[in-house]
Parts: sequence; structure tokens; C-alpha cells
Amino acid sequence: MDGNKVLFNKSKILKLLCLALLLCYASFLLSFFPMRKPVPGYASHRALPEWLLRGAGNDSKAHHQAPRPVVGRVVIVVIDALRVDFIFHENTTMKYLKSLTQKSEALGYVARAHPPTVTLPRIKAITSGTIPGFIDVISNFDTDVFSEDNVVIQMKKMGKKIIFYGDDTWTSLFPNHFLRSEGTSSFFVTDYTEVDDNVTRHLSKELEQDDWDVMILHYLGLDHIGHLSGPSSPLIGPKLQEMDNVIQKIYSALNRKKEILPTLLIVCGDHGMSDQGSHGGASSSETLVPVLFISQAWKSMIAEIKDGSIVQQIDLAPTLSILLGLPIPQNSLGCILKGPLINYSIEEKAQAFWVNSQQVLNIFEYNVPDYENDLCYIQCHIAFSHHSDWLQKLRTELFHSTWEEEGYQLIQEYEDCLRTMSSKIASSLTKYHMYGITVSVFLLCMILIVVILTALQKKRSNIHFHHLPLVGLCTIVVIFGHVTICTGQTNNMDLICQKNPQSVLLQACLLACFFFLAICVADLILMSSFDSIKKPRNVVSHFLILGTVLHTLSFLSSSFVEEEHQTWYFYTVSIHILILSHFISQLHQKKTEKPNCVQTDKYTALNQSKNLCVENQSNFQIQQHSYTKRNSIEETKTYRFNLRNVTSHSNTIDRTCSPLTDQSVGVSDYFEENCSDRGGIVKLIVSVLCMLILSRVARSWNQTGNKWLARPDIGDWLNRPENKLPLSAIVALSLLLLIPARWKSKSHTTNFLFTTACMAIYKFRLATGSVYFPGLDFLQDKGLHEAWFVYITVLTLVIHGIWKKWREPRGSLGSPILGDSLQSACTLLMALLFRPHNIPLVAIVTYQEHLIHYFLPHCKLSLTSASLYFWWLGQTTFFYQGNSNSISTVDVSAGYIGVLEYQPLVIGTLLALSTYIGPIFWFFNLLKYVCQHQYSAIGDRRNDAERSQCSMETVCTSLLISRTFTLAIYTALDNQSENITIELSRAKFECQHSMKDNSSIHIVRSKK
Amino acid sequence: MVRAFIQRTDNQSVVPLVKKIVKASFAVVLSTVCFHVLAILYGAPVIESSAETFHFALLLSVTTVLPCICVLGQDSYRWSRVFLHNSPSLGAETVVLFTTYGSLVGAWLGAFPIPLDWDRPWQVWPISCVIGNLIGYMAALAVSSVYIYHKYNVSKKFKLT
Repeated sequence: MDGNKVLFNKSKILKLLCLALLLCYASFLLSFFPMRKPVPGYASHRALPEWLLRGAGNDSKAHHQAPRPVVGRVVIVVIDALRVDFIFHENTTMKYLKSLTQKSEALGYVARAHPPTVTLPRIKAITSGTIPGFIDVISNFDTDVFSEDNVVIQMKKMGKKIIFYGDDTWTSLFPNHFLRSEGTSSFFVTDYTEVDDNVTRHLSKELEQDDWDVMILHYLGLDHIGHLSGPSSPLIGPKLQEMDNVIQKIYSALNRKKEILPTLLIVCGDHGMSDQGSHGGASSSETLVPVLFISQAWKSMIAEIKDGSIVQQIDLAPTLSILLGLPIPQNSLGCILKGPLINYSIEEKAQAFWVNSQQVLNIFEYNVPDYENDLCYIQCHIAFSHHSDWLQKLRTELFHSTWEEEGYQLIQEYEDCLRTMSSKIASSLTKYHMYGITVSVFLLCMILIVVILTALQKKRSNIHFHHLPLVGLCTIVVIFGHVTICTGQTNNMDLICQKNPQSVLLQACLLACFFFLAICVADLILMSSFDSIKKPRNVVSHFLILGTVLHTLSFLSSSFVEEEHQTWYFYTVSIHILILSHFISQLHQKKTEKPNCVQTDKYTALNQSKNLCVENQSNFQIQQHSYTKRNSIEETKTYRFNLRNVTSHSNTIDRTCSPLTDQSVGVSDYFEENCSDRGGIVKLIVSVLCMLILSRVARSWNQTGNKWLARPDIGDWLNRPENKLPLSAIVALSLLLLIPARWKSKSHTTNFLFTTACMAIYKFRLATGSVYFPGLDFLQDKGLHEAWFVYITVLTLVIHGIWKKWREPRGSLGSPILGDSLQSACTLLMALLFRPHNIPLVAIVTYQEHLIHYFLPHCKLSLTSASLYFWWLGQTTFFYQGNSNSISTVDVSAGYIGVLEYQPLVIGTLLALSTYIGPIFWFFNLLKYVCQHQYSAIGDRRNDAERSQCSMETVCTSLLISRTFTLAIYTALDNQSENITIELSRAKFECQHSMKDNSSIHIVRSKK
Repeated sequence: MVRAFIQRTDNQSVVPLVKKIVKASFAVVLSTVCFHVLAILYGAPVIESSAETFHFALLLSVTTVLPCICVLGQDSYRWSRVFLHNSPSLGAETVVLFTTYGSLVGAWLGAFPIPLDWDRPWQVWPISCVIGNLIGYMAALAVSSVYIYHKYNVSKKFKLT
């Protein structure tokens, strides 16, 4: 191999690093969120042991199996996002349900759902009793057949006829299990009447029929209202009343029929609703749901069990199975509820608990390594022997009441050991692949090192193949190490140790990645010469770098992750105040020396050079006057005198401090540029102040995070139904303000397009009913045409920009036309996809952008600092919108704007766009900024094309460093913290962030 | 420092002294208003707890602007020399420079514990910032005294040789 052969040039290295980053992050995520390991197969009835049969055998003969079924037909009504206080509050509008609870016909529980509180995992939990993994959130939009053992499959196996109406998630989970079914699509969040009418219209017909045994209904309207306007919306009351009427209708129809076994009606919510109307997180308003068992069978007996404690949502599956006489689903971790078992005798109850413990014990043995020595395993076996003793006593014991008392104790014992077992299994299910995590973190750190080294390099140097033997040796050592670790005892189930093709492919990719990184590291460390780090020029740059580092370190604390927006708000205000003080000091410098610019320059330049020269020059005058005077007035005089001296000796100084000459020339250049007049600087100061005020207004628009979430904000006020008029006014005003802000004198077509698109956006809002327009009351269509018009405009703008760019001479990045049109497109998308109350934010952000392009060039930021600055602004805008690191703040309704059918790709893109449009907007701004102010500092001898390429590379590198740094620190720290939900969402966001950054880097690179 | 301020003017008549005091207090009030606005820009609630914000702003201007006025007077030239060119004389000017920066940075750092979920009473706005401000002020006093001592020694040595 030729030793001097260039392996990669810098842009290739950057691309490869992006790829490697993505790969490492993916492998980290895969090891951090492992898949669950379910017991395969389906449950069947367990053969009862001899002692149990003997015990139960004396009063009936058919007890070879689990307890007999006590209910005949079952109706399950799932109401999406039914929060606890919707039913159990005193002023609830569900009057009928409340009267049932008072008449003791309904048995109410508060159940805790496991996060993620999203519909699909919740349905899985209700039917199978399992705790779905976190990976299921991501697949929430993409459902396939649910093959794990669950109640619905068991029902079907037992020959029960099931009918289903409601959310079509069920029909895709159980495609062939229903006798009759109709799914309603949950993808039109704006519709909350039709989805429910489509369910209810089948009711009266089906209630007449006799051919079904189980009916499942899933109502979506409530959830849609929550997403639209939150739990305090006036629409909630009537919707609950409607649900109440549905329940009354079903229950009275069921009671009219006389059947052998009583019928059971179960009403439950799949997940709750946060105070913002969303769901997905782990707060108690999202996880606590009501579960009601309604049946006439326990009319009289219900008074004796008042069970107020909070149960688990997964308890529903085993309870239902027992009541129907079905085997409990194989992987259920739930524990039977005692309440609905009233109709059983005490022996049957104990038997039911025995069945449940056997089933959970099975999973326990499957999942916990040394289960024999585990405390709850032993506890469970003690309970079995107690059970057997107790059954023996039945014949000998004379006092029935004490025997019964012991029975209840036994059941309590069973319940305790069931709960501890299931929590233990649940924690063992979320075990990480430590080895995979370590490897990914190690590789991420290597990437970080490489990126930093490339940034520090003196020239745009390339990677050579100098150290092949060394790197090869390293690689061989690594391979041996990997094999040793993988064949060891503890790690053989690890993600990157398995032998299936995917895992092998992943291992090969990681190895290649390691090889590449090792080459880079070896070459960069051993061969290249480095500059000392170029010192940032002013406080602003220092602060930008320090702030980025601090922000990354703040992820150590989970509350800083929850309240990340506070960090960003604090930072942006601080940076602008620093800029402000910079301008004020310039203003002051102007004031001190009035006459004319040239003199000022000289003065400042020399003043600075004087400060620097003091140590070198033993100028006796300076010494003499420096420390001797106490009286300040006098001192000032001497100081002035001193300065005058220095000025008169300027030539001498220039000669003696020859290295300083360059600098003083630079300083005077700098001032000549700015010294147009003081008015100019005052204007700059005013613009920074405006910027500060705008950011203050924007931050009070949406409260987000955790701690101050409940505080009233402008968005809440605008969303109140009585404030529809102010909302319409402010939306119209901000759309109008947008038009002049993006008005470009050159191109009339784009202006026209933009204006019409703004009008279309208002009309779209009108059609969805969020704003008023005098004279027009309500439009029937859902605003599809308007939305499509805006999408087409956006596309046109983008294509127009690219086309213009294409026709320019290659290599010059001089004209900002591409950045401009991309920005216009972004603005339009923001205005379309944001919730109506956030449209003023679009105007605020646009004006902020104008202000920044006015004052930022005068701050003389280096490229690295400028990219960090725009990155900060992007983050801030992300949080202005009301986003946070919790998944529940993602605005789902934005995915369905202008979409007719369910298309996962389109909806995913729209969701990602609406969430990340802020950072994207500022990224385009950075592009434009870099194009407009080509940095002469970088390569003065090169031509334009090279220079622009070089500046782009610097920008990419600095962005990449910041992302890698965050990722590396974040993944390394992940292992310790406990709050998985935050982590998941944070991780997801990080992933998307870096994907976005990387892809945008690719875009930039490919455009050149 | 106030004493120094008075001492400097005690040869002259009372009227300029009163004039100066009025001017100084006006400057303090003005800077308090500025700091209040700044705190609001930083995210302090506008209406709610505005008294606390005002007290915080008052404290800030007492620890920053007031000492500066007392030491530097109204001479804008001295101000610019101390704060723009960072070349104060060894003495009160250095102390003032240090305490001003110290109390500002202290107050800035004091805002960091506010978002933490410890739920302590002192995490409420603006208590932690007030504490940070005072700590910064005191630390700056200590540091500046050490600095002056060090510099004084160095300059003495320099003079001897």
C-alpha cells in the first residue's frame, strides 16, 4: 500500500463520521431498550393437583379445571382517555354510572396503567396482562397482528363469539377473531362526533341479537376532544353524558334478557389525560384510569367489599379470564381482583388464586435466573402448603367462621406473593444489554475525539494510510477481546453477541466503524500538527462555548432534562445581554473621543496596544504614573497626560512592539467599519432590546416542562372558548405581519405565492373551526384544499430556490436566494402545522430573524460561535412551541393536516416537521447567514468556492462536535438514572435531532 | 466608601454635596428599574411577586451601581477606564470592579438551582439569586483584597529593582 495515499479528504470524513454516529446511536438504543422475552405458546387449563381436587371435590364434580365460569355474556366498553376524575368526581356528568355505584351494582376501581400511556400498548396490556416494552410506543402507529397469548385469543379458542366496534387498532391487532366488527379510524383527531356515532349506531341492532358472547366497544371521541382542547374543555361534559347514555342503553338491554349466567359490563379507560389534554407520559393524571365492573349478579353482596386501593390495569386480564372460566393468558403479570369474585365460594376463590400463582410462577421461572433461592418463590410455595393444610382442615375444623377467616388470610398471602413476583419480573424484563451499551459509548467517544481533532487541525488535511500495521493490530486485539467476552458466561445473550444474521451484521458494521475511527485517530494524533486552539475573539464567543458545555453537563440531573427549556431561555437572554453590553461599550468608546473617526481608531488601537505593551516596554512614564497617585482626579489627569505621551510616541511604540502592529491595524479596521455614526450603534442596541422583548413574550406563550407546567400562559388564555374572537384577531394579525416580513423586492411570483398561501392558511383555520371570520360561519369541508394549496406552495418555493441555485455558477455560495426560499417555505409550514394559538409565534420568530440579521454581523462572531448561536436559537424556538422532552407534548393532530387516509410515512413526516420546524428554520438561517457574510478570516488566499466550502466545513464540524458531545455524555450517563420515560423520550429526541442535523449536513454537502 | 465620598467633598460647600447625593440616588433608582426590567426579561413573572423582583433589583444596584458611584463619581472617563479597558488603579477601583462583576455573576449563577426538583423553600424566585448575589459580592471582596495585596507586592518589588 502506498504510504502517502490519501484515504479520505475532510468532507468524506465528515460524512462517514455522521454515518458512524448514527450507527453507534442505533446500537445503543437497541441495547438500551431490549425486547421482552415472552413465554411462547398459549395457555391451557392446568391439571389440578390431587390435594386441590380432594378439597374441592366434595361439593361438585366438574372441577378438573380452573374455577367455573360465573358470567355469561360480557360487554367491554373502553373509553379512550377516560381519566379517573371524569367518573369519580362529585360533579360528574355521568349520572347513571354514579347511581349504579350508589345502588351497589357497579364495582369501581382505580387502576394504574403502565407508561407509555398510548393506546396500542394499553390495549395489549388490557387483553394480555403483560407490560409492553417501551419499544411499543414507536410502533404505536404501525400495528400488526397481536400473536402473544391474550384474552381475546383464549375466548376464541373456547368458542366464544366476539363482536367489536370502535378503534381500528383492535381490528388490526385481532384481524380474524371477531364475528362481526367495524373499525373506526382514529386518525382524524379533529372529528369527535362521527367516530362515536359510527360505534353507537350498531348498538341497538346488536343488543337484539343473541349470537354473540362478548362485545367490545372502543370509543375515541373523548380522546380526540382532549387532544383538541384539553380536559377542561366544555365539550367534555356532553361527551361524558353521551357515554353515560350508551352505558345505560347497554345495561338495561342486557338486564331485560333472562339468562342462566349473569351478564357483566366492564367500563374502563385505556389511559388518562394530562392537564394539557395529551397522554403518553407517566404522570398520575395520565396513568390512573377507572375500571368498573357492572352486573346485577352482585347487587346484594357488594357492600361487604369496599376496596379503595389502587389496582393495576394488567389485573383486568386474569380477572376476566377467571370470571369467564378461561385459562389465564400465558404472560400475564396481573393479579386477580377479589371484588368481582363474590359469587365464588371461598374454596373456589383460593383455587382461582392458586391458578394465578401457578401461571405467574411459570413466567418467574422463565425470566429470573436463580429463582429457587428467591424469597418470593419460597413464599409462594409456603402459600401452596398452607392451602393444602387449610383444605385438610375443612373436614376436621368445627368452627366454620375461623376456617373462613383462615381462607381470607390465605388469599391475602397469595396476593402478596403474586404482587412481589410480578414486580420482580417486570424489573427483570427491562434489563439492559450492558456490553452493547459499553461498546456504543466507547465508539461514540472515539467519534467525539476524531471530530475534535479534525476541528483543531491546522490545514484542511487528509487522512492517510500511515499506520496500517498498528491499527490492524488493534483491530485483531479488539476482535479477540470481543470473542472472549461473548463466549463468557454472563454476556452470551447480549445484543451484539448473538449469532443470528442481524446481530452478526451489526457486529460487522461496528467493527468497520471501529477500524475507520482507529485509522483516523492514529493518523490525526501521530502525524498531524496542531494549532493551539484559536482563541475566540470576545466574551460572546467564550460564553457560547461555555454554555454549550454546561448544557451538556446539565443532563446529569433529571430535573434539568425535564426543565431543559429553562436552560435555553436563560442562555438566549444571557447571550443577548452580552451582545447588548458589547454594543453599549462601543457606544461609550465613541463618546469618549468625539472629533473624527480616524483619531478614534488611533486612540483605541494605541490604547489597547499600550495595555499590551506595558510589560515589554520599560517606559518610565507609564511606570511612574501607574501606582503612585491616590487622588483620583489628579490621577485621571496624569493618565490622560500619559496617553497623550503615548500618542505622540506612537511611531516608537509601533516600531518597538512590532508584533502588535498587525493587531492595531486590525482594530482600526474594525472601527472604521463600524464608526459610521453613533446613531448606527444606538439602532443596534435598540434592535437587541427588541429581540430580548420578543423572546420574553415568546417564552410566556406556552408553559412546558414539569415544574411550572400548571402556570397560566398566553396559549391557555387564547385557547379558552370564550376567547375565540381575540384568537382570530391575533392569528389574522400575525399572518398579515408575516407578509411584509418575507416580502422580497426581487421576485414577484414568490411574493404573490406567499401572500395567497397566508390567506389559505387563515381559510384553513376557518374551516377547522378554530377562528372566526365575519360573514362566514362554518365551512363544511375540513380545509383539505387549503392545506394542499399550502403544501404545493411550499414545494414550489423550495424547487424555485433550488432551481435558482442550480443556475448560478458552481461553487459560489454568495447569493442567499436558496436560504431565503427555504425560509419562506419553513415559515409557511410553521403557520400551517402549529396549533392556532401558536401562529403569533411564527411572526415573532420571523421578526427575530430579521433583527438578528441586522445586528449579528456587527458582533464579529467566528464561524463556530455563529453555528452554536443559531443552534441555541433553534433549541429555544423548539421549546417556545410548547414542546418538551416528554413524548406527551408532541402535537399529534399536526400529522393529519390535509391528510385524507392513514399513510404512516406522510403522517410521520408531518409530525416530525411540526415538532422540529423551529431548529430547522434556524438551521436554514445559519446557512443564509454564512452565505451572506463569507468569512474572510478563513482563507484569504483562496478563491470564493474554496472559501465557502471551507466555511461550510467549519460549520458542519462545529455542529457535529456539539451533537456528538451531547450524545456521548448523555449515553454514558444514561445507565445510572432511573426515570425511564424521560430517558426514552430524551433519547428519541436526541436521535431525531442528530438525524436531522446529520441529514442537513448531507444536504449542504451535496449541494456544493 | 460612602465616607470616602463625603471626605472628598467636605472642603466644598454643602450644595454640591446634596446635588451629588441626589444624582447618585437618582442613578441607583434608575439602575434598579433597569435591573427590574432585566429580571423580567430573564423570565421573572411580570405581575406576580413583583415586589420581590423589585427588592432583588434594588439589592443588585446597591451591590453594583452604588459602590461604583461612590468610588468613581460621575466622571465617565474613569468609568470607561475601569470597566471598558479593565485598568483600574490598585485600590478602591479594583475592589469596585471585582465586586460589580462578582455580584452580577453570583446573581446569574444563583438562578441555576431554581429548576431543580428539590422543593426547598429557598428555590423560590428570587431567594437563590439574592443569596448568589451576596455570596458573589463577598467572594469578590475577598478575592480583590488578595489580588491587591499580591499586585502591591509585585509592584513594590518592581520598583526596587
